[in-house]
Amino acid sequence: MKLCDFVVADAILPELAANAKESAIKAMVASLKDAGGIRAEDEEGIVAAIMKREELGSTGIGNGVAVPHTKHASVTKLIATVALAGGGVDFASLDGEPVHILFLLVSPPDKPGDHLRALESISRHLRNQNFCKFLRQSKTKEAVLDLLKEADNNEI
Amino acid sequence: MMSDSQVYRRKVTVKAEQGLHIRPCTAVAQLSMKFQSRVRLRKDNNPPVDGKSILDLMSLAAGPQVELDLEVDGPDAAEAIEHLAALFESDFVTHPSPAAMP
Repeated sequence: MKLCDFVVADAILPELAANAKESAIKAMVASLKDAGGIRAEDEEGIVAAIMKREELGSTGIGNGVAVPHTKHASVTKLIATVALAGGGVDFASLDGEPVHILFLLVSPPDKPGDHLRALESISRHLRNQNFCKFLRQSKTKEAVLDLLKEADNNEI
Repeated sequence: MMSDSQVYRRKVTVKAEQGLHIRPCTAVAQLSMKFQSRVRLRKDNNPPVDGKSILDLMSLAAGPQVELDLEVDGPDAAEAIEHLAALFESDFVTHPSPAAMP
């Protein structure tokens, strides 16, 4: 699965100002709504579901990365957005470090295989230090999108 | 010391209904990190990944019922492989509480 298959380009947030977990998640879900990825009436429910998932254990998986996510019946295909937080978000990460790169996923409940494949795609690229470095240097939606495309084409 | 090092291998099966998603990956990495030994997992003939890295484990994209090769290498490998195999057996739901682990 390619990143550009599920990342909603218009919802990318290259300069996320939030420094707390909930405000970061709210901003990312709002961005998905503004981009037309989810309906306005589902926004609150999706934020609540993602926060509930965080209670089971932080999705701040270390190395400055978090992957907040939920399943939600309102989406028919897996969608995601990317946010970059220069100042760092306190995500109660496993290594205690603030988070700078966030991938937020909303997937349909009946497609666990797609969720796994998206996680594979995200993790494969995040294991590439250059990808992380260039991502953190990106200052515009376009720059992030170009980088995702390059990653999809294995050009990094 | 090299003489203390032991290598253990075992096949483990992903029993979690949703496969090795973030929560199981986190559980495996957190348990692995409690041991000094190197922990590696391999799917099919792919290169092995680091059992102490959530990102590495996520990259396995191991679905339900997928069999993985678990290899533990180090001074506490014998104990580590038992705990890790038990975690896979437990379906990642009823794994021992952190307090019960070394």
